[in-house]
Amino acid sequence: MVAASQDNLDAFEILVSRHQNRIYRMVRQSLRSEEDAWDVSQEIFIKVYNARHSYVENAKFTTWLYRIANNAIIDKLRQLQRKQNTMSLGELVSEPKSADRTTHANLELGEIRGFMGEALSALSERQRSMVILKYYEGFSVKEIAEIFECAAGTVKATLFQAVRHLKNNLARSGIVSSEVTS
Amino acid sequence: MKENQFELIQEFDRLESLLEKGAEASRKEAGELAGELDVVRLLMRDASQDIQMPRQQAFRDQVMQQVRPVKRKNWWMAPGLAVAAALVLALLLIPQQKKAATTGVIQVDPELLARAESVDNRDAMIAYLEQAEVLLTSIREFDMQCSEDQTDLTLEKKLARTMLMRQKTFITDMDKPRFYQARDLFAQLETILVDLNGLDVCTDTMDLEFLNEHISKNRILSKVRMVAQDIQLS
Repeated sequence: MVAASQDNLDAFEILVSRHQNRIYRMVRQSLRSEEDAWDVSQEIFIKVYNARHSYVENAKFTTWLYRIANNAIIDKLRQLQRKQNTMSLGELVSEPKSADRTTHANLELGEIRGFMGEALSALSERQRSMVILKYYEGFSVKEIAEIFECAAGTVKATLFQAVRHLKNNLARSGIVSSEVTS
Repeated sequence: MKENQFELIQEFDRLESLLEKGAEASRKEAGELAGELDVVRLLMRDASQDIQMPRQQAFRDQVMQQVRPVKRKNWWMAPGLAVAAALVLALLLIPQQKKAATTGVIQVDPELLARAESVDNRDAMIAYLEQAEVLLTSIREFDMQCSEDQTDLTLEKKLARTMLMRQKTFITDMDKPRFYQARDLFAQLETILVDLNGLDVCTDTMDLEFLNEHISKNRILSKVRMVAQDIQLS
């Protein structure tokens, strides 16, 4: 990134090639649309290039990149929400599809994706981003805290709240059990 | 810290330790966190699905297309370069105008031309070494996989080809005594570039590791940085 920040286009191209798949995957998980994910991923890299001079040499590049990516995703989600104000994402989840099977062990991956996508959409922007970074992209709590510029404790609390919300939403669909096992 | 947040953190830590146990952690053991444990396991199953970016090359090309004009505009508008270009032009033209006034023929001072050429070559060498640093770092940190044991070298090969062509522009200057130290490094780099260029686009990771070992053993990356600095100061 240091080379790219000094207008070295070869370095920037290598940087794009290194990170494009991960960024696309993260955007795709957040937006659930292949076309939007492609466009937003491009916007992210163009933003990275335009902001290259503000990159601090000793900063961790992925933290900086994912901060830009996260902001771009939130912008896009807000734009989509404004467009679809006739039916909020929350309403989509309040009318869940019912699963034929009672346990997630028997669910096909495609089915999990559908239910999980809807449940994730009902989370707040912050909760959803943190869940995607932690469980889909494999970031540690410390790394997420750096991306969001907050304390590790805040990340843990937000993640646990998010998981609890997901549980409640998925329980309504019959995907997980809400019973307490003693 | 709020009491509630403290509890949430504790619950999260408990959930994490249950996950660390893997499949051994039963719902019974999880107790009231059984539902949350199921959710996280579902998330992880969902995450295990391979999402591949479609049209990867087209994506990269489009991004590069968007950023390239910006660079060109900056390049021409860079005030330092504009001033330098004006100075070189003035140096070349003013003496000639004087001579032309007396002889009627425009003649370029060969010494001046040689000096301008030497400056050009020096800049080309520095640019070449900057590219070399990018390339060697990229090879060292390879992570673009074609398959489990093969690495995608499309961009690295492209850069190696560009560098081999660029090398031809300043190769004549390499005989000069002031580039004595650089000569050896440039020869080593050329061998690496030719080797890299000869590899398949999807090459065995073992081959790349072998090349990396050679680069690291001969401290080529450090030499690149050192020689670039020397040339810049020369």
